[in-house]
Amino acid sequence: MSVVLSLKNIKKNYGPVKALDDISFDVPKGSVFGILGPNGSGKTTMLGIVMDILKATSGSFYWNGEQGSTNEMRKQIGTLLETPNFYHYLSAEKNLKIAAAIKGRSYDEIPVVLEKVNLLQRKDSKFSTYSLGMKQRLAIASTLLGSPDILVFDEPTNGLDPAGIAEIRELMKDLNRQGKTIIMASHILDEVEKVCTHVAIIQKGILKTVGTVQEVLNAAPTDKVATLEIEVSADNITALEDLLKQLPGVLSVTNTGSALTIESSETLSSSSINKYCFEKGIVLSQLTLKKKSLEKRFLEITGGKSDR
Amino acid sequence: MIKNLQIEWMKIKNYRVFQVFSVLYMIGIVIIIFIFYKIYTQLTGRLTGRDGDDLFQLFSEETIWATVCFSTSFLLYLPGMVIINLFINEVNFKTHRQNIIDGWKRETFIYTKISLIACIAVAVTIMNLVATFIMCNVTNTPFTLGPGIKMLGFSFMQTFIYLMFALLLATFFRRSGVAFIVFFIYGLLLEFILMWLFSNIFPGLQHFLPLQVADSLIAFPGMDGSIFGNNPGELIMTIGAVAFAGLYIFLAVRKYKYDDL
Repeated sequence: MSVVLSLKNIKKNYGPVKALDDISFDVPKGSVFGILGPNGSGKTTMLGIVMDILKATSGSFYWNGEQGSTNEMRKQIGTLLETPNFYHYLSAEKNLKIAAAIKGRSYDEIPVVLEKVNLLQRKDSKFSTYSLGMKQRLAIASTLLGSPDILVFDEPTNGLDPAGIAEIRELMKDLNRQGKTIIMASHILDEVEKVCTHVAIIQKGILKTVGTVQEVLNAAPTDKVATLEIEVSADNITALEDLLKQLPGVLSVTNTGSALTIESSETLSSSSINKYCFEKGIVLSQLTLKKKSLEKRFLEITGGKSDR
Repeated sequence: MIKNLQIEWMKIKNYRVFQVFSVLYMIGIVIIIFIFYKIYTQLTGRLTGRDGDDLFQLFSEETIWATVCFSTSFLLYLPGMVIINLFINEVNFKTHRQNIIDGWKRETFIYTKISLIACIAVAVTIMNLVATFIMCNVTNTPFTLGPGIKMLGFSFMQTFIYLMFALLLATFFRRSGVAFIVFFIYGLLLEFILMWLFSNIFPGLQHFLPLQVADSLIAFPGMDGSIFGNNPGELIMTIGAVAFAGLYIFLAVRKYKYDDL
């Protein structure tokens, strides 16, 4: 799979503060690549560097194999970075005309992209009169000018109501289905899990992990063995708890009242647990292999603390 | 560059501050020339030299260009404020970042601002030309372009240097309040103090200060310099002004090209 963006040992220092420390990863073409991290972890700084508004202290990056961020390359990328940046005293349409003129795009596309984000009716309203959600949608409309193959979104659902969030997520999925590569920074785990195919997790400017969402979910924490989480229940829950504690491979058993949650090594499976219990005379009334959430994985990696 | 200037025009043509200050500047030209003319007509015949002629010939064929350009130069703080305001708006709205993200080079952004300054300097120069033409008719002075060409060139250079200085302050301070205060305090107070100091410590160098280098090009009619001494001549002052303009461009471009935005 070809690579759209490649970061090589990117470092960014603000005096003694290391905002980014030796970040390297590749963004595959056609992926929805999530950059996940707590507030202040360096996500926006990283995107600022690849869009040439911040200068890296050291390291290099490549867009489609070409070093750095040329203006011609940036014209081919739709980018929403940090906040919607428009002239407050101009209307939505006039703001998009400026963006289109810089990108070298036709003004004919403006009504089309405004329609996509449901702002066509308000095209003549000044940007300063827009709500936060409308500003965000206008910024997304601007990124769609020229139908770029690469889109960079920094917290794209900021300020949107639940319906707006769902719309934008659907739009991103739709864009991805059209073959576009989407790079998205977010601290909203649910958003990344629902939309992204790949994820990089950074904390305090350090890349903690990177891969497909499934790879990241399945990987064990570096200081632990890989584990499974299984929920089981039976008529005699006390006997079941005693029995499971004797089963090799079971790391812990937690009684939640109506069921038991087992943390086990990956040598066990749901069928082997079922067989073991049956052979010992206990019939299970519930056996569920719990899917590990990105939230849990994220908290394992970051320790659950904000970087600010 | 024409295309970039068209984009710049799209940004500013509907901006109320730009519109209001443009009108204020034009009204200011009328008022300030009227004040000069009124004072001149009241002093005519009262201030005479040894030969009995009027000491100041402000509206003669030779001096009318300098009178108009000198008097309107006091208004250059108005477009200077507009330049600071326009640049710091870009910083506050973060559109200076968005223009780069959308595909402009960093140099394109700052060179477009410098080109806008050059356009405003041309507009100011044209307004001085028109104002001189009108005053020639009002005072029954023959309108001859010959002596005016040089003065219009100086007017362009003076405006360009004032506005580049304003842009430089905006680029470095990034806060409109601070940039305005520095622009006014330096231009209206600090530079006079520096001129006085330099004229006593390093005589001659008082003409080569950031704004005075432009002011020295257009001296009060009948004078060859300021109250702090005559300037070293038009050629040297022109070279000095061009050097300062080049320095301002260099510093603004360098700052914008290499700093985080």
